[in-house]
Amino acid sequence: MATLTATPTPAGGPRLLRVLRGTLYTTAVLFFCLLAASPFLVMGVVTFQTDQDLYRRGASPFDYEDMPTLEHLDNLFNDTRYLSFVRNSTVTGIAVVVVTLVLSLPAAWALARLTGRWGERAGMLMFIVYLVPPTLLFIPLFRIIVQLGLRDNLLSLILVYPSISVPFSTWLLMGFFKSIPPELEEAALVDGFTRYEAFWRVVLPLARPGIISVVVFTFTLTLHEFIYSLVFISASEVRTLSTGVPTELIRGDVFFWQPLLASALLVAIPVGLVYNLFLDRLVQGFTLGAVKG
Amino acid sequence: MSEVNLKGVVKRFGDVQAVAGVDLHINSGEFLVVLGPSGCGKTTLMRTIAGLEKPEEGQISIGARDVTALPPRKRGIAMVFQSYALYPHMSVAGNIGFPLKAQGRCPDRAEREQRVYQAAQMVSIEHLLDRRPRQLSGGERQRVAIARAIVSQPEVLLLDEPLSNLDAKLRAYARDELKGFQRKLGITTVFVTHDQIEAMGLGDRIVVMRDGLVQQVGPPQAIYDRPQNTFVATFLGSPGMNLQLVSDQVQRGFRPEHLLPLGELPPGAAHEPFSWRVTRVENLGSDRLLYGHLADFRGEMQLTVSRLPSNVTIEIPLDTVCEFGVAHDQLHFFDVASGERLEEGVAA
Repeated sequence: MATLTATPTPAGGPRLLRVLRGTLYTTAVLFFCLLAASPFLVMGVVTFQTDQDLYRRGASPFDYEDMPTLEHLDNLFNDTRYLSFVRNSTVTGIAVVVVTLVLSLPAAWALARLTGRWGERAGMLMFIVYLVPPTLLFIPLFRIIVQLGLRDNLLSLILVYPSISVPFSTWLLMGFFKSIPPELEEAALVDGFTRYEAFWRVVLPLARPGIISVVVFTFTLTLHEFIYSLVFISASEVRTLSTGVPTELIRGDVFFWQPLLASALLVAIPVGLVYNLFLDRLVQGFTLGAVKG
Repeated sequence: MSEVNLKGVVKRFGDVQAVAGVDLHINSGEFLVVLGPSGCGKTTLMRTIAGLEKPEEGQISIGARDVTALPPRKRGIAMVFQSYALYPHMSVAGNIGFPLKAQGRCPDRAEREQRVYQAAQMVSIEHLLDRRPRQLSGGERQRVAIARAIVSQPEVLLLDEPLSNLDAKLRAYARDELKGFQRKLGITTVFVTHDQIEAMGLGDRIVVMRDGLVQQVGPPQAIYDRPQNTFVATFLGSPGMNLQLVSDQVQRGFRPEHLLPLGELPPGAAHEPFSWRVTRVENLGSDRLLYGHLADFRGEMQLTVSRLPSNVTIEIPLDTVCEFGVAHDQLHFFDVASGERLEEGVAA
């Protein structure tokens, strides 16, 4: 007994330290999570606040003093074209994603594999194209859109957005294709497949993280792009979210805060969920694209 | 099972001739080893047979078919890559069955599974079929690659240094197994390696290549016993053949295991005496390597090696002149300028 009590527990000190460190770590993570989420929390709370509650001096934005109301959601869905904006944005987004993949997948593969040193240079050139900002291009592009008779038509956006998304996606995918050993393609050729089949069955599945990155990047681009959307489309029923919401829910200097925030939140939630679902692959995608090539 | 014929095959990369005109006949069912140092064009030669490289000149035929212009999928070949090139996104079963999914090869699913299982059984990996390649050891990956290669019953099997990623112990075992499969299947096999032990141990015949050219073709023992030129003589054997200038035109060569103390030479055989100083001894367990220098006809010293088997227990004193000798029939003569072998009659 005596020896037992005399021996200090060797794990006692370090264990306490470990618990302390764990608690500190968790607290810090929770704090930053809350910090990052707070704008969305405020948006969620404000959506259901009455006007009096929202504009009351000294009131907390996280709390209700009056009864929460659905009035503003009703207003957003029934008195504005919000649903048609969502539909337009979705249609444009999906179409642009498809066009981007169809163009950038073969381009990136070719640049990564078939042209050797010229591939590098061509890839560099494409990236430079990506660096030209839309604010410089929208005037000449507007004239082209008018000549094509595509004003107030979603096709104008579907045609122009790839000018931003294709160079970036090609560059990103190039890094991916370069990281896939050419021997895998050759093995598929020897195993009895054509080059096209080898690409489809071996290269594409391995480049999936890159493809997901491209889809997410391109889709969010079409969601938030403003200048082209504002310039090419002026008819309210053809507008997309990025221009429709601010034009309908801001009149002069009056901001209809509750529906405005609700409209943003409703779009942000699904996009956020998708981002989280693919977070690991996205990070892998962007870092790979950044390091390679 | 088919024979393979190469006629005047040339493959260039820019200004470099990786394969500089190769004629080769590979017999049906033969295990042919292409041996050479890295950069000698042996892998390129194999890739040309596979159809992964298009030769600038020459003709390749498999069986009775001229395949020079055909893509790999129409050549009836299979290949095991040095890195194995297993598809990381497929299971082992998916990898092995992949060639069967190629157009029209084996449309019936049940039959496909059956054949995948048989191929896996052949290399004893049927318990690994559900694994992913990254969960396998090097030796297991190699077997998957072999199973994938034999599942479609190719006419010709091409192996590109398939043992080089295995550790030394496993390699001897894998050599034995590989030779076993090949005998069982009777498939025409081309095996590329830079390892002469693999080449000697596996090949029915060996092709020694250098700088894109075939140096010598023949059974392993014949090449070892009668090297066609100094390159083959020094490349084969470890260490390679000793060379000694005997005049401006002629050099003679002898293998380390034939440079023996006078007492160890076969009794009564005519021999060439060599007096030399041994400066270093390496004991390798199974034999001893003696390093020293021999003077050539101009009096310049050349590094020379002798190999004594472990049953020769005679004490070799360092830095003392010792009397050694080489039996006459173990001496080889080569032209100095071209390096080509000279017949004994010419040399004498």
